[in-house]
Amino acid sequence: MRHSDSERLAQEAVREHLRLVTRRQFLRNAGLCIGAAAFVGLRGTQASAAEVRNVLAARTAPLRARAKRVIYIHLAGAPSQLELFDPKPELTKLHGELCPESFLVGKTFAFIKGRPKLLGPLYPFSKHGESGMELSDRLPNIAQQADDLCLIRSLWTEQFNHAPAQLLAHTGFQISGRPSMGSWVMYGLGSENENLPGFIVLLSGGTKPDGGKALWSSGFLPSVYQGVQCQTVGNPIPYLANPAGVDGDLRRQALNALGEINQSEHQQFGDPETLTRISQYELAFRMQMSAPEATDLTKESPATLARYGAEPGKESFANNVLLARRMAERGVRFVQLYDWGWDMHGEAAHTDLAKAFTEKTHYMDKAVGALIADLRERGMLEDTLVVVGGEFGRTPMWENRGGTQNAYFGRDHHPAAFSMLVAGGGFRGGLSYGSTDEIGYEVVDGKMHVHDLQATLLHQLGLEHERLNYRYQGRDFRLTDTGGKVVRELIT
Amino acid sequence: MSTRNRLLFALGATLVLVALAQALPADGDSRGPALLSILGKWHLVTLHLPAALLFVVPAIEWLHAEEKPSRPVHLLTDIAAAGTWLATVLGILHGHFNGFSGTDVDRHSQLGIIAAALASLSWAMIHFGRKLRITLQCLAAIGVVLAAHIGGEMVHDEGFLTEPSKPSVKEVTNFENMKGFSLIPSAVAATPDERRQVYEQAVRPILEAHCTACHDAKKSKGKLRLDSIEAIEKGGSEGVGLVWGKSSDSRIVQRATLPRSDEESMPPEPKKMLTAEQVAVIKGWIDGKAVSAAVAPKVTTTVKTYPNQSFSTNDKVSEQADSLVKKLGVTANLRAVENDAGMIITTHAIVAQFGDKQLSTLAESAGDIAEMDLSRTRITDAGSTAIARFKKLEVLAVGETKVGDGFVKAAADLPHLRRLILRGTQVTDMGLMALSKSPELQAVYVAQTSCTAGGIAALQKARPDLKIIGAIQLVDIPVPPPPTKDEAMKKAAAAKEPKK
Repeated sequence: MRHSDSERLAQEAVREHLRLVTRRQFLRNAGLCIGAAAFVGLRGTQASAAEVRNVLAARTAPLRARAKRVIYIHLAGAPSQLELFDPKPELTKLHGELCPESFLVGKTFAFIKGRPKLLGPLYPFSKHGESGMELSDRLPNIAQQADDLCLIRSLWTEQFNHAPAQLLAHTGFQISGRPSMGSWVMYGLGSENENLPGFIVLLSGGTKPDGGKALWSSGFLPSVYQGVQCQTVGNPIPYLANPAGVDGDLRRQALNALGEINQSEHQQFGDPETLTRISQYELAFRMQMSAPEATDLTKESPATLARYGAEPGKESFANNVLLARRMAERGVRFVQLYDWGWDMHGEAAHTDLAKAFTEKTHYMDKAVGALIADLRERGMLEDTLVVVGGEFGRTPMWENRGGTQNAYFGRDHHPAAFSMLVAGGGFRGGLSYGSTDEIGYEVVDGKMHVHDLQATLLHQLGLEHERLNYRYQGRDFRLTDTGGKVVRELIT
Repeated sequence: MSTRNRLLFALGATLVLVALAQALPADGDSRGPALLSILGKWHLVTLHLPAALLFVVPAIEWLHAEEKPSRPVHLLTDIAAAGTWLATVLGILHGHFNGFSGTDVDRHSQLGIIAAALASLSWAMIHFGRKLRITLQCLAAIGVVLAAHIGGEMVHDEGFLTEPSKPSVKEVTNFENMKGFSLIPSAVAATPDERRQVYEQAVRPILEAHCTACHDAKKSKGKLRLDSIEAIEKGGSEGVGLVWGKSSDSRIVQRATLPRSDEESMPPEPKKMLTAEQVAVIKGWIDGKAVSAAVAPKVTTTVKTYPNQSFSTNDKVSEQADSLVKKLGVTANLRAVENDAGMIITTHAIVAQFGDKQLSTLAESAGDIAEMDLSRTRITDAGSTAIARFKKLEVLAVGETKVGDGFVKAAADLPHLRRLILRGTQVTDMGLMALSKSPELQAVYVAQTSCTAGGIAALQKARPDLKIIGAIQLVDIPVPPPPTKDEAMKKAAAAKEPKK
């Protein structure tokens, strides 16, 4: 960092401090001197109480909103589009042939070395619904609702490793530190249920996605907008229950006292993070009542549980999807699911694009299919965006880690072309958008950056991606960084 | 010098100041001769010495308590009184020859003369008793503080000493206020009303951030005020400020667009010049190319930055919702936002507290409500009369409540109802059939109800356009096992053979 830069930052910090020490504090101190403290103090308290509530209050979207909420199902590790969404009959013919050298010049791969062979798609595709959308036979339940789905086959991303690509997909930037889409949406629209967090994160697949907690961080936005992790085993929300020997009344008293201290802190320094702290404590208290009901999967009928493949009391993707529906029903604005284990390289049995992949798709298809049907029945699909997909695509080549072909079927990371599904929220049902070349190596039509998808999702929520800004360190930031355009063809 | 002579001398000096101020009023004209103009500017330098001395004198007296003033106090009092007088003379010259005018300038001038008079008085009465002496010295100090305060605020911004620096905040404000506008050339010039709207929303913030510190009622350099449309039209000592329809002939635009090298360039250095965008807004306003003010108010509210963000985008709606909450007697917050059609009410946080009584209370505000999500609340068929009052309602969700046919019949008559969600209610085929008359209904959701396939078919026949969504059955399709490596090769070979 150059000297002048650090000086500028220091000045900025000083200015920020001065800004926080507001006129109110000046007045308050003056008020103390002339004995009017009671009056000023009273007004201050009221103002902050309103502010606390307003941070999370539902806000009218600036544009006409087609969707009120989002269920974003991220298949972490990136599922193969060639086995699910993007039919490539030509690639079947080329199975086992060496990849042309021209395809490899100037390309970087995570694992592929030298000259790999091409891998034909393992599963047959067929047409579904009135629209004739082509999907593979691994997705029988999702395919039955093809006319409700918008399938995008022409996405691309800049990153070929999991963590940066996931960060790019969820925060709009490949390095951690930016707010995630859920935080931006909360910042723009607020919460519809003051008794539950507005942005909930559900994990399955046994481990966190590579991007880690940065994927649902609020970055530089006030931390009241960060994602709250939730689980279907044990306490629905970690650290929510009262400690042993503390009952609700005692808790309430403690929170009241704490609240008063924080209020006076806020009056003195005006730091918005103090408001965040107060509202988080209060939300946690209300959640002690509401979260157990919202997360109780035993309230669902056996038929519903069977339809999702959910089993109460276990940690599973199906449970999370069902939970997501219950949350969405209760006004939660953004439910983010991460299911780890889609990274089918074929270097070991658990990354086999044949058997392991089929096991993964089986429960994914069942739960997602049930979710879409369920939302449709409940009249919620119209204003709920369901997004399904990974952080990038997979290569048409059979991965040859270290130069020798992998023992199982598998594909390497491929950022240049991949597919995602969006259902509901005003996305055009039955549309298969964009296309890739004959082997799915490059996008040839309707090329769409992940920023474009983000811009379009925000647009459906009534938010303009170019205007949903936050000023930080001297400039405005937004989810779509410096890119992104709304793809009008995707929406009705 | 005797005290009497001293008093006469002080009076004379003060009268000179009053006469000088009368003869040389600060009326906003900049005029020569150069020497007097420059001399006036030295006011800003000379004032500091006597101002400081007027504080030092009583301080010494207080610390060094003696009945008679010491020699240094004598000398300092001489210098302070003379210095104050001189600074005031120069101030009057500054105001008169360098184009100042305005209420603040006048007050500054008056207070300056008073301060000089007090300083002279304390000089004249220095031989009086210690108490009176110090009192007078303190009065002189207070006088100079008051005068200096106004002067200081004219040189620096108002609130310079009591508020933190805010250059960046000012820029943000302009940026936001401008962002909502685009210049749309139109054949018709803007009406005075439209002009005023654009002025208030776009032009005024720019002028307030960059111009009115020197050009308003308090301080009107060059007799020019830029704090109202009328004042800008009137202009200053150089003539009118703007010519409607001709931005390039308008003085305020000309001065703002002169190159920095030009002495006439405004705002003067070291202040920042207006940006091209800001000038464009002002030009668009003057030329009557109506800035799209009609769409602006909605847009401007969206660009607010936390914690500057006031969350006021739907103040009206929140207030309405708050008063509803009070009326409903529920503890949690009712959430309401707005779309083009009206309010959207959700009761997610208060499902257990929301029943028929609350619905009928809510019906008092029915005229504002376009969408309601009452899913899982305690409402029943007893809410039928209440629901009939929501004439503006377009979307109604009552899934998983105890409502039945009576409620549905009442809802069927709502003139604008487009979507009705009845999943998990007690509605039967009878209630369902009532929906055939619902004038605007486009979709109804009836899964998990007592409606039969026959009932649904009957309604569909009566209303072929209506989307009726019942339970969605997914067929259980077995997934074939994945291929082995051999099978994959065979498939490839088969694909290569030409089809017969």
